[in-house]
Amino acid sequence: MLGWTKWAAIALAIASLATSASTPAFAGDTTVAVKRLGPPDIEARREALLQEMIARPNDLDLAFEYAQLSAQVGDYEGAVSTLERMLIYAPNTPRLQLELGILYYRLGAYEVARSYFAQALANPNVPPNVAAQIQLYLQQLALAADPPAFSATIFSAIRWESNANFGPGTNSVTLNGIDFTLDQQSVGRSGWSALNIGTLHYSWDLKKQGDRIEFDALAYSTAYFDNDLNDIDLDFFEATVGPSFNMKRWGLDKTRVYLYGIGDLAYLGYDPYFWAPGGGIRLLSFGAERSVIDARVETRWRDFENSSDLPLNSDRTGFQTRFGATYSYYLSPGFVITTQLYGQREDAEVGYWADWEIAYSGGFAWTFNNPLWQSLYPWTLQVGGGVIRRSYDDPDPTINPLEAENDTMWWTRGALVLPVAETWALVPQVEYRDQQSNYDIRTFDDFMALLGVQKRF
Amino acid sequence: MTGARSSKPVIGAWARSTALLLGLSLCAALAVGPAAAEKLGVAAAVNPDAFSSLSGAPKSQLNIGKSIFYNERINTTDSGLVQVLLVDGSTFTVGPGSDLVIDKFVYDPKKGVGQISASFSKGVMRFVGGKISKNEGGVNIDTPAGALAIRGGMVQGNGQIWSFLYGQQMTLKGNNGQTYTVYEPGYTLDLSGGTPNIRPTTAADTNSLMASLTNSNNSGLNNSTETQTGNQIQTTETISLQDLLSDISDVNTQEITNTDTETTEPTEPNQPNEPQPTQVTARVLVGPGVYTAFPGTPEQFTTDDGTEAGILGGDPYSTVDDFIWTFGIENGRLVGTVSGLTDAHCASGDCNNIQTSVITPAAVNFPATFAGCQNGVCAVTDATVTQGGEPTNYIGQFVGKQGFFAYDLIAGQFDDGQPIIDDDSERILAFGGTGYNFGTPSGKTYAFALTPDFKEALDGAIGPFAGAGSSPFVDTSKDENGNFIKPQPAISPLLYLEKDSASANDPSRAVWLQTTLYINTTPAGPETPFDQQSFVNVALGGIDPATGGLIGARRGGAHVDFYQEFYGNCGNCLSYYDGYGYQGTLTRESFAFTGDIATLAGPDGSHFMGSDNPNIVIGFDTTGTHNIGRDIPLDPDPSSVEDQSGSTHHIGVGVGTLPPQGQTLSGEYKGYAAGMVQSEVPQSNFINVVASLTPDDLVVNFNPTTNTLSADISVFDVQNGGGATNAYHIGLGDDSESPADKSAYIDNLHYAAIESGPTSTTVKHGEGSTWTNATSTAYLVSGDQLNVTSFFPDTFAADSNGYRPFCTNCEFLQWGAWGARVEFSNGESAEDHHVDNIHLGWWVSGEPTTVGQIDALAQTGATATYTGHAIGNVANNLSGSGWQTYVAAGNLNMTWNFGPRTGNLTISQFDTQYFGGNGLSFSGAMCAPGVSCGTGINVAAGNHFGGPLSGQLPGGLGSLSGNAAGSFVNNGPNPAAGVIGNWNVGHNDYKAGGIFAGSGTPVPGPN
Repeated sequence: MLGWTKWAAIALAIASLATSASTPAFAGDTTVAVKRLGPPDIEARREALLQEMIARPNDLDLAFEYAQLSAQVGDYEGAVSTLERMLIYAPNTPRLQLELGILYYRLGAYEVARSYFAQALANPNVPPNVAAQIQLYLQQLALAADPPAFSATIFSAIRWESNANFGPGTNSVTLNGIDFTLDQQSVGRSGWSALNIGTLHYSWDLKKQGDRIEFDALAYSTAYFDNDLNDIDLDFFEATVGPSFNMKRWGLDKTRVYLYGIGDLAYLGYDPYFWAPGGGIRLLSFGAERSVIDARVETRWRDFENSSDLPLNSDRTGFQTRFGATYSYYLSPGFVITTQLYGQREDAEVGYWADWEIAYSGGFAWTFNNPLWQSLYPWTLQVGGGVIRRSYDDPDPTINPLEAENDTMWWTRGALVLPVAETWALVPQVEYRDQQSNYDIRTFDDFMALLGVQKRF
Repeated sequence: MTGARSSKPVIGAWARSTALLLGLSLCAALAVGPAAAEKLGVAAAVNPDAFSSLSGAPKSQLNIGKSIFYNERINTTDSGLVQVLLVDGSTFTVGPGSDLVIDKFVYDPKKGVGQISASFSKGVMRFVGGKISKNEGGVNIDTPAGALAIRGGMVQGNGQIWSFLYGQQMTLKGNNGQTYTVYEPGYTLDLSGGTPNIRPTTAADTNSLMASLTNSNNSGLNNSTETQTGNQIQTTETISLQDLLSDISDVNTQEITNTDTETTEPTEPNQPNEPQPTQVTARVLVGPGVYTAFPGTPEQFTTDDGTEAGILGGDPYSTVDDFIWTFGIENGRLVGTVSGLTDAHCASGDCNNIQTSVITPAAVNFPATFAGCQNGVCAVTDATVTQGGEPTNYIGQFVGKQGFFAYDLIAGQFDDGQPIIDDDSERILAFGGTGYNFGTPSGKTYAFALTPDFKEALDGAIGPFAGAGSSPFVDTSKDENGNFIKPQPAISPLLYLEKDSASANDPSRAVWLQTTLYINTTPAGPETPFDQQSFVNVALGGIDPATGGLIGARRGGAHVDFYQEFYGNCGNCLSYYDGYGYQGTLTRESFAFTGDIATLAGPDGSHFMGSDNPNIVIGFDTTGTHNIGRDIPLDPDPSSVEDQSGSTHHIGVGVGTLPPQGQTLSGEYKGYAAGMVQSEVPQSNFINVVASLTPDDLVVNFNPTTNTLSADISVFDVQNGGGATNAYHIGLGDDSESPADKSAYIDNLHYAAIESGPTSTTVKHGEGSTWTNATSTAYLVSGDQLNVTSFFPDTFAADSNGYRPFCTNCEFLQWGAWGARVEFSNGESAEDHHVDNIHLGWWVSGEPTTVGQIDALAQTGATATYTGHAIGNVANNLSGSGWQTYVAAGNLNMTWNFGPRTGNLTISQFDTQYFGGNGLSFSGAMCAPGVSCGTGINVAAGNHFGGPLSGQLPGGLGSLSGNAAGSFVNNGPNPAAGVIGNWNVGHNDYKAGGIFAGSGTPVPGPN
């Protein structure tokens, strides 16, 4: 028996994957500038240095201090113009060329950065350590300037759930005011399953000041080892394609708007479950300091198919429309808090399957030094939780003809991302959810634990 | 230094002049804005040739630190670069050929808001925004294509393209009323096609703009020693003569010493008109030169026409004036009136009739404060000498170091940034300072960067002690990235190795060495025929015990092409295309260099002056019976010795001591030599390959105790050239028992020697008998000292430090160049007088592997593969337009089987500059004595191998044949770690010969 709640689980799992990976769908935009804000005295010192430099422009000590402080407080322009002046005084100095290359690289002026790096490398006097640093930067620059058009992730996990089918916790429920005792098939069952999620992203630069065509594909599959749970094995595929636009054209820095079409296909218990065409609009902004805003509106027309197990499944057919926004704030480069709010309307051919849903969640991700091997990749701890409220339009006459279903689910989840190589990570994750409902049969709790392997391409 | 020819080097000298100006950083004139105007910024960095003018006032050169005002026009010549820093932190960096006016600047520093409006009419610029640009509408730049508004960012462009580097946006409101906005960094507004187009910025966009906005002005220290001495960060600086001499106590008496001792006229004492705040004493030399005894001429005075003279050339009717004078420093100027001097000159051009007269008093007014100096070298633009009420402007260079100063000036002025000099004027060299205290000597090596002789460099001289007339033309044009397109001369610093101790019994000698090498290895292009001109100058010597100054000599030579109007037959002419379809002719000339060199004493008699580092003034020695510089042409065309002779002077800017270098070569090293003989007397246009035959024919003997070396070179006619001289033997360097400043052994990489003496040369003709009266001038110099490999970057790979060794792991080998001009006769007839020239021959040596060590390797059945390189000389007449001789290099690969004592030797990728592609390849089987590997190959006994070489000329031009000879050498305890030798190949129209060296490791056989 698969309830709607399973969809929430899918969404959460995908969100988890997206957070733990480096957001492959938006690889070019994930760098969040976290300015090291200088204390006021640095600004005062810089201002004083600027005036001193105007009085004594050939004092290289002054210039060097000004450039250093400017870079420190994130005024890369001030640092650049000062170092370029020093380079006029001291032409062909590899160290200056390296610093300028780095500053331009940070500014995103990749061709100029490349030119400075090349000048430094071409200098026969470049010290070997500087040359080695430059080679590193050139490699990074090649990626940053021309990010790979394709990216992909695969997440494979083995999972145990205390209540795989999200059935009620006991076999005693009230239906239509009468107490019933459910058979064991209908109450929650624990089970092991294999979980596989794959994502693919392709971005085609239109060479129009940052406008692109984006294509994303998602494949999600669960397979329970317990044959009795095979009817809730789920295979879900989604593809989105459409243009994305650089909103700097209207003064919104580091902000993009995506327009896309959606195609979904789902199988449940290996029977066709639904297919859905749809469309969406999304706004993704890194424009505010330390913040990321990701807001989207999506709608799909979901056409559910009847099957032998679900003979009335087509009654669920209808539009699903969601308005949502996620806001992330970087307290520090390694600590981000995230909060999400969305509202969703699902229409169906019968009122007891049509509902309104509103959800709020919050959490954090903390990246810290590997406590076991300091030199290895840092670990990331993700902790989150939320609440989902759902109200159905009409009572389900088979359960309670007088009262429509109202559910409240609380959930919490923790995951640890343990990179073991540059693109490989182990992800142990635990999750607990508890749903209270005026329909006993919809009341359940579930504890889930999984161990996954994530690979980025 | 005069040239030997009246014809000028090919192509004008302006390009070189520009390069010189860059080296001098000419920016000295002051420009002060009106007091009423409000300063909006400052010229924060200035490369030469930037100017500014206010509201139509005459433009003046822009200095660092100069305030910038409203409506001030900033423009640059083709080599200028300026950064203007505005008070809000914005900067405009303006490249060559630019014109920028800041029309409006409003700024409220408290709020950080304001407005900048500028007009940029031409050139290249980069704008980096400060506080004002953060506000919308803050920055507007009028360009020919429209108004450019910049918000919060960085842009660079040249009028055709505007690249948006960073920031909010860049908007062009075009003249057509349309608006084009670039908001994404990395995009460029391209106006080149007429209709503005926004497209991604390409690497070509960036590189072309960056090349113009990058200071490519580097000093000419191009020797491998540069990593220690030339790598100092050059900073422009402001120099005040007064400050430099602050530790020199004021001169209390004014001393007049007129070295013009022939004059007897009473002199008027110099009376300063008013008290001087500071006084400074200088030794002053005013051209032309006095050549008291240059060889072969009875005249006391030069009769040079003055057009190509160095500091001591010039006015043909005047003697040199060499006197010591005390000047005052007033208001940043060196001032004084020189009077009471007398002058001797040839009466009506008859130099047997000398007349003297009192010189009209001359009021000197030279700048004494300078801006924009680099490493102590400053431009002089406004020195004046007023005689008889007639002021004459002088330009040139000033060198100022703590405790030392020197002016090198010539009459002229700058016109639009270009020096216009008066060829007939008398040059002025004035210098002074305090004697440098070396302390107790301890074997330190001091480096001096030599400035160009201002006049000769403007005319095209390519290095120190070189005259314009015998210097190749060096193309100093640059590509879009600011890199030189053609090779540039490798000019070493002058290295001076002091004695090891102060002990009277210390056998170590103080020695010095300075070299210049130029080889135009530019390959042939579609419109540029292959034309390798080359130049080598080796100057070395020791200390004159009488004066404490440097003395020595220079040797070397050049292959130079002259453009010549051509009438009739020209046997040694090459076609010349100027790239515009004009076809003229080139005449080749070979020169051999001689001349004695010495430092000049300062006013107090010190030859090394300064307090932080020693500095020198050095040039050709014109005193006593010394030989002044001569560039002796091989051409029999009788040019007068005066036309071959001249002098240059250079200021040696002390750049400190070098870290201790290895001086571990000691005793005899043996090897091979090869060269290309050219002869014009008596047989015109004769060319032949000569090479040594056994390791005993090239012996270099290093003496680290005395810091000297000696060498013996014997080379033979190996191609049986008709009419060839059979053998030459030349002895070079110092006799270890009685050194005579004929060599300098600074360290394992930097050493050289010149001929030991006239009698050290023997020449044998075909029958084996020795010519009488054989004399030579000759040099032998380390290849690393010359930086030879840098001219062949495709052949010799650079290591991580940029050093290009002859071969990998070859530190245990010695190699380099040698050359000689040999004159010999039997004294019976003019036809028996011969002059042979060897220019840039090559040698290689090492510690020979013993026969016993080779036998031991043979017993183990060892084999080895040696890889390295070959370098040599080519004589090429494949075009049929006359023989060209030049230097070429290639790769060496040799396999050797020590058991049977045979192997194979291949020289490949040789002479790619001429042939392109893979160049030439020739190879052959090699064998040891007693083993047959080729008909007619006579392999000498001992550690020696030889064999025939053969190969094909490309394009079916024919086959090459010749032979190679070589020996194995040890790397310390490792036997046969290297192989060295020489080779030659011939063809009717192509001859080549040279040396090779490679490294390898013998590997024992299976059993």
